[in-house]
Amino acid sequence: MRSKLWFTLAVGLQIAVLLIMIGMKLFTLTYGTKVLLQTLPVDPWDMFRGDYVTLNYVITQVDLKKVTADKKEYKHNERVYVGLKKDGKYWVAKSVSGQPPDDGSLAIKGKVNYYDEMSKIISINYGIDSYYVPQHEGRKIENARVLADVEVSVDRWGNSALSKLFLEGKEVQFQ
Amino acid sequence: MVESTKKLSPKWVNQLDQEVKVWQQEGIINETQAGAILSRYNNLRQKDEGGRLVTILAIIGAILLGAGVIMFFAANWQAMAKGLKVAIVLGSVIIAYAAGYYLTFEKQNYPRVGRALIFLGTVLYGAGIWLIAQIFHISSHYPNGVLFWFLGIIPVVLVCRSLSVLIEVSLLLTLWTVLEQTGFENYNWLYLPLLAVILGLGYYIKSRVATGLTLAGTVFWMVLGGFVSFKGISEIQGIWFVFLLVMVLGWLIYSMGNLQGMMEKFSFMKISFQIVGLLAFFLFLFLATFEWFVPDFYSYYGTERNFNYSGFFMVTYGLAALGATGSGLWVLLKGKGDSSYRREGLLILTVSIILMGLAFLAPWLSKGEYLAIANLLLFAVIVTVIVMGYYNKEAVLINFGLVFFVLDIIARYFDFFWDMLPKSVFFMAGGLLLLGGGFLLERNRRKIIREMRVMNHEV
Repeated sequence: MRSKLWFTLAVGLQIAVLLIMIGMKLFTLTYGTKVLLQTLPVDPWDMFRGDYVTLNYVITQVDLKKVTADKKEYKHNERVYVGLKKDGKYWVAKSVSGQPPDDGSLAIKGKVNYYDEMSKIISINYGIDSYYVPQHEGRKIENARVLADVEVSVDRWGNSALSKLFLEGKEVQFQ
Repeated sequence: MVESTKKLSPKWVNQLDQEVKVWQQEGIINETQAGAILSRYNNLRQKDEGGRLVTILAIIGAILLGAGVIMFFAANWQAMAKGLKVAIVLGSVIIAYAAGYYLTFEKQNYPRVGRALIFLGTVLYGAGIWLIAQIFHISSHYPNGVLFWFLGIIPVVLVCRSLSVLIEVSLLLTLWTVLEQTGFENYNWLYLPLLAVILGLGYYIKSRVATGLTLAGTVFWMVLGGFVSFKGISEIQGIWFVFLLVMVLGWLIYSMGNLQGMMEKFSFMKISFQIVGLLAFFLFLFLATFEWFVPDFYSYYGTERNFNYSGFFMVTYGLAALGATGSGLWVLLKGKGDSSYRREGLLILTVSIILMGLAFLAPWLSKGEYLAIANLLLFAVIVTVIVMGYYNKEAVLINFGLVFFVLDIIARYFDFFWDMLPKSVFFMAGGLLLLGGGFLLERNRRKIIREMRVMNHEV
């Protein structure tokens, strides 16, 4: 069991896991379509938890009365694809479906957080709701009640990756 | 050569060395005989205490270094380009493993430090997962980070038979299910097959500590699963039923320990199962004897019973109780003729049946009946366990019994006399009771354990 081969394989597996993590995001960032998403006003006290910004997108809450949907009801943790269309500067939701669109149009993949039957509002988690910032760096922005725009890359399978964060139209850079 | 599974410590061998010298001086044995006796235990003598210290220091060093690397990244966060950061993460993992492998297996001159470096590699790999998640702002389902961490390092346990990495794996398994169940309120059924794999690893490298730690994690899974299942249907009453769940889980673990005690091949694991099982069982039965946790099943408006069992409760409770009953029967039937197996089997069976009955009866009992039953059960099991420990010569049973006996007395003293006596008298009487009780217990415990040793020698 002490053989070098097995040990190398064990380590190689771990490196592969890390590389796959990187590769998947790099693919999405490189080849995905860049879409600009608008976030809802963030309560400054909630905005910085630890060293990341919590982002609450307009498309996090989708009103099923206003978009097309393939089902009457959605369950917690169900996988959905939200079709996106460009509306002025921002991209907005146009449809919700359990399947990726077959016409090649752009859709972002997410998981249902909850579905409220009364208001017909579905809340979706896309896995892009944290933007990590350096420690203590976020304090400056914390006091200003601002709207954030986020540039997200969406690839043809609906995977998404956060690429840029804009506050009041300026890209946030920490140097 | 003596099998190390027999309970002989290096300390015992040192004492033997001195005794043998005395026997030789007194002319009981001659030099050849002395040499023969001493050489019998040579394999136990090789375990030097200094080596363990080196291992512990090296592991602490590895943890500090790993933590330092994580903090360095967190602080120097955007000062570096993405590519450089990724290169450093991957490079540090590879260097730690390569250096560890070289020192442990290739050169073989610093095996302890080398193993600590391999351990460092597993920590850095985990850190790498979180750092890459940070670099690319990945925030989907964070418990998966811990899941991929311990799954990724399991092969290292297999290849290097590393105890420290296995302990890391079993702690991460528990952390994963806690994050998953508290953050997302689910039952996390995937925990069970992974638990089986990691318990298997404990047997593979023959580690009682790692197995005990892995088993202790099941209590967390059960408690959280229980709370999730009662959420929204019977939240207040559910608390007591979660206690009941852990009691039956602890009892199952204890009974599985006894089952393994009968098998030559697995008997070395008995003690881990006994300790974790009894601790879980007694601790939660003890909690269940407090009035605060006892539910009221009748609504305030009338006499209508108001309780619903959850599906999770029924399934896990049923399986655990059946498992414990089955183990009890097995011990009873297979160990026929041996009175210590008969005692073990009967105790396991009786408690399993009482626990099953309690789960059915509970919603029909009044608060007073509840407290009476819980207190009686605790007291009865404590006494039985102490008596059985004495007859079966198992110190662990006696010690557990005595600890919870004392805790029970203290708790009931508070329950009954807190309101009745003036506070000064309450504390003075309590202090005297404890001192006196402690004196008696200490004297008797020593006496019992000494007698057990004598009996062991006679056998």
